[in-house]
Amino acid sequence: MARVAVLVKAAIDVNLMKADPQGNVLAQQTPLVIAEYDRNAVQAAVEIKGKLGGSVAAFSLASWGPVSAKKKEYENVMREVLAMGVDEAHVVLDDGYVDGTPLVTAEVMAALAGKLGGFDIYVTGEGSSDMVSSQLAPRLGALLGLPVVTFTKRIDIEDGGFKITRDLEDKLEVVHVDPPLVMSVTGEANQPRLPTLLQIRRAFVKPIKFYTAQDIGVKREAKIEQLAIKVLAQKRKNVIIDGSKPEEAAEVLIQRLTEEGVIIPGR
Amino acid sequence: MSRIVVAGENSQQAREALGFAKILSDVSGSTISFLVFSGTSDEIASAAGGIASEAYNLNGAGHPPESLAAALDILSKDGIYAVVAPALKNLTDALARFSAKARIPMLTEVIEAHVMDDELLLKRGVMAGRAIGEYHVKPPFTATVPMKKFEPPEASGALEVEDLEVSAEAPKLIGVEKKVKGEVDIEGAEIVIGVGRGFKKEEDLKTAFQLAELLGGEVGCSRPIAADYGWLPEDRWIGISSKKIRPKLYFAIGISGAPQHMSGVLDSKIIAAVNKDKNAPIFQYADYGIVGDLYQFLPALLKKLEEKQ
Ligand SMILES: Cc1cc2nc3c(=O)[nH]c(=O)nc-3n(C[C@H](O)[C@H](O)[C@H](O)COP(=O)(O)OP(=O)(O)OC[C@H]3O[C@@H](n4cnc5c(N)ncnc54)[C@H](O)[C@@H]3O)c2cc1C
Repeated sequence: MARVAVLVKAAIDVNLMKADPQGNVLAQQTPLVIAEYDRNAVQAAVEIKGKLGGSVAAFSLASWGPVSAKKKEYENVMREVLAMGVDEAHVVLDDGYVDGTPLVTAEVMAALAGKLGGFDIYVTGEGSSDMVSSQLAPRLGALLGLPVVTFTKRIDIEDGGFKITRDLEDKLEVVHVDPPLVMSVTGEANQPRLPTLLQIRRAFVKPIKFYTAQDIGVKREAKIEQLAIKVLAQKRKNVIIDGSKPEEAAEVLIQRLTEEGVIIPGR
Repeated sequence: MSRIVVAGENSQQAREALGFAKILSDVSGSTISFLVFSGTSDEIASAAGGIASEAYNLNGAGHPPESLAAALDILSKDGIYAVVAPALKNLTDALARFSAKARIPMLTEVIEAHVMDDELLLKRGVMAGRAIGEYHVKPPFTATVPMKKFEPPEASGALEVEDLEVSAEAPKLIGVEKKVKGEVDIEGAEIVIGVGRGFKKEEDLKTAFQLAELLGGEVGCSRPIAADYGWLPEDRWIGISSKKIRPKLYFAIGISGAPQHMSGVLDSKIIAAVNKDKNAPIFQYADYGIVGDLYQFLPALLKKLEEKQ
């Protein structure tokens, strides 16, 4: 039986990102979604539970505020992972921790893990879809004093030990490690399954617990200050060509790209 | 005076962060220490001679993330200004472990460094590359920088290398499989044809290669095509977690236009796209967007181009 914890971020939906006329990103007005690769982390955690038995707890720190206005969105992300097979969810909601750097996130998550009595396996995504810092797993492992395996592409469980394939730039590396451990998984580690209607309904009776900074006790220090988040302006022509008549569309495209001087047909 | 440690698995890697380290050292007056997981003294000297004032070699002992993190614990004993490294997975891992224990902030993939009133202003891509975050950071901190982003200063002269021994527990290494390396220079290509999940089968990609051939370009791809399906080698994978390209023409075929992909192509002069979904985000990024089925459009385009040969 294994106690598995999966760390899940409710991230800015980068496809729906809002900005003011000066180009400042309006995080408060942008919806939150589960960070793309955290689905793979949840899937990995649920599969580990399937093999070893036990339970999966999801941890999350609200990293975009104000938390009072966003609480429902954090809850929705947790319902989603509960429907995917997580058994219980723990969410830290405190405006004192929002815009938190990975330093704060890791310290808060480590404190939460301690409060809940510790776990055998901690799983995170390789990086969040909004900030992509890729720091949480190694930071958490260092704080908890546990072995860390990052960028996991494949997990094989043999006699309770973990054979893990890491996906690095120039090679795949296979390591063996026994729990307790912390790992981050890549977007290729598995195929996250969509929950069934029944699972979604069941998720509504699973527990979600909320915590404040007071419950957690981690003091945030100003070691880094986020001054601004500015949209990268993209000026494109946005000419749409109807492709229902392929020959005509091809002719138009060739003509336009030739005028732009980026292709030379018949070169 | 506190130092700046520049780390890498080898000298060539660590050298990628030397340009950034030099900026930090000019601001702070800190000296630069060069730390490598493995390599020869000659390699180290030719990478950092005249720039670093000292160098340490772990001589390949242990496993890179754990050994490098342990070395950083030792080298920071008497205070540190910063630790910097190129944005490679094992190094991000090592710096994050060290940063957690030292309780200091870390910024990954810093793309710009400015000094304002003696304070450091660092910038990095956020929101999957759709925005830039600006940060004031006080030392000590750690950071990674993309490969080839900060030009390193010319190295010259000797550099004394000290062997460093660390003891760090690490997972047992049981196997290594090198990845196939293609020979394409997608970052240098003038025309790039990008292929995505709109292609249903691996063999269908041949039409994209024919197009690249006709136009004198290279074929690149989205992450799933390389990392998930393995249809193309990873040196053709474009985006936030791989290659950044700056061609005259980027032509995205069957690619939805996820920000993580697009952040690798934003410097293209012209972006064209084919997608059968008129609401696909790729059209927001495109100069010329064809709404249509690639399986009908591509053969038509190839035929027209062949006629013009
Ligand atoms: C932390 C992180 C890092 C990432 N890094 C990268 C990265 O570096 N690079 C990258 O590419 N992605 C990256 N991703 C993944 C990214 O979010 C997307 O999932 C991915 O880019 C989608 O690839 P795609 O466009 O090929 O596939 P899809 O999103 O599935 O798009 C396929 C498109 O093809 C169109 N289509 C289907 N059939 C046809 C047809 N017959 N004719 C025409 N069009 C058709 C569809 O309408 C659709 O728009 C990252 C994600 C995260 C969270």
